[in-house]
Amino acid sequence: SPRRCVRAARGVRARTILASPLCLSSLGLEGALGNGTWRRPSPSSRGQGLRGGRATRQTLSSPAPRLPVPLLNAPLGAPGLLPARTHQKPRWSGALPPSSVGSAGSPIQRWLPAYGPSASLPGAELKTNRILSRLCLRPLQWLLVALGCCLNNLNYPLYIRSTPTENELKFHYMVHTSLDVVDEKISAMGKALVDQRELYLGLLYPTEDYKVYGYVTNSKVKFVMVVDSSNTALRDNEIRSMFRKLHNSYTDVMCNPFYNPGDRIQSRAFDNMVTSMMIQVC
Amino acid sequence: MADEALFLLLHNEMVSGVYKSAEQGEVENGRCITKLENMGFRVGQGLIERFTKDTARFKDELDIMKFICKDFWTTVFKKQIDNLRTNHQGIYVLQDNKFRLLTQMSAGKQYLEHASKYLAFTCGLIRGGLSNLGIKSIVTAEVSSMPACKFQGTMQKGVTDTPNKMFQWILCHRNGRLRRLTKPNIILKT
Repeated sequence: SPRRCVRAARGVRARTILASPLCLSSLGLEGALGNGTWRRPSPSSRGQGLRGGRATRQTLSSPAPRLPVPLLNAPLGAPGLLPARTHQKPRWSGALPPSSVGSAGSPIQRWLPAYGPSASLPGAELKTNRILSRLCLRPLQWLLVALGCCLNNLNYPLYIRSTPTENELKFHYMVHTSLDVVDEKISAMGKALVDQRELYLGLLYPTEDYKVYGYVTNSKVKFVMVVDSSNTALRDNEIRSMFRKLHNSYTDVMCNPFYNPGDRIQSRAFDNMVTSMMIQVC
Repeated sequence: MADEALFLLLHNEMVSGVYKSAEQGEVENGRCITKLENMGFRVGQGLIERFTKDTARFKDELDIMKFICKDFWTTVFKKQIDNLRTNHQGIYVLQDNKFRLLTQMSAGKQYLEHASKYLAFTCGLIRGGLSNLGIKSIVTAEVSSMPACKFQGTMQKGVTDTPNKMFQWILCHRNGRLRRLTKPNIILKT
């Protein structure tokens, strides 16, 4: 019954999944626990509201999705569930995060996170990963710019930036799974999917809301960009030029004597370039 | 490179500077060559990033070596490598009959014993360039008669180690976990 579900949702605060079978079956995961790990839900931890066997069986039988599922795209369930939590304000529509620098200028600049180590780590934003923030989702142009570095088949991010910072983990997940597609495209298996001599990889794959573009340099550094699909004004040429700018700035970073190759990128010049690019898109 | 004389003179001073600091005890004896090579390594990484910015993607190792012999050497030393030999199993020998950094020194056997100091930086340059392109290697140089010299590169396919303090994202596709490991991991590639 919906009331039991609401009680379960209230009681289980750290797990922000609403008790809706539709929700869970499309996710197949339990959710953010606030400490950076995602766990497949065990039967005991699922909460009382879901003792209905139908929900359980549905979740267990759906396989883990191959392409990244938009984690928070699940419908919110019965309308009766919503009033329980609407008193909570979504976090990002309010004041600036305390660590931001500069004044709140244009609305776009208010949403851009100040660069700081906490802003770019996935763990920092998990507290804001509440599904109910979807209630007030405005049609924003979400753009995530991420660099992954490959050192002998190791892929770890050198630089990740997204605007706005809500639901960052979803983007990280998307970027990580798109690395597979990038590897596929650059491996010279004679498939001629992409011109082997080009650095720009083009559209990697479209999900329902986002498009993912890739670019690989000769030094095996991968740039991945995630753009909102509703931004139809962004043409291929513009994406190409953005990647060129990224590559140029990365080259400058590389030649900086204070930068050790393999570290996270801390250069402010690089940040400013990325900021200007995101502003231009948004 | 604007004018080759600039880099030539700077390089000579660099070598003598490192050796002077060795005499004063800042650098241990025997580590000078390593120091020069490490300098060349970092420079090579940056240079390669700049030079490969506009080139097409490389198909394989041989393509990369050809790029180093032709474009890279031309941009740095204003001439190409005269001879590239390989055994197709990871060993490449680059032969330069008139190495720019050595032409000023002698044209025969004089000062042969000092030549290795002046080749260390270039060895590092090659090693840094290769490492940024994804190839781990060891580069050595030998001189039999100035100013000709040979650079030998041995490509390594084996143990790769991660830098320290890096985040590693490993997604286990089996059960859909996203984990963040902060401990350095040694990954063996067979």
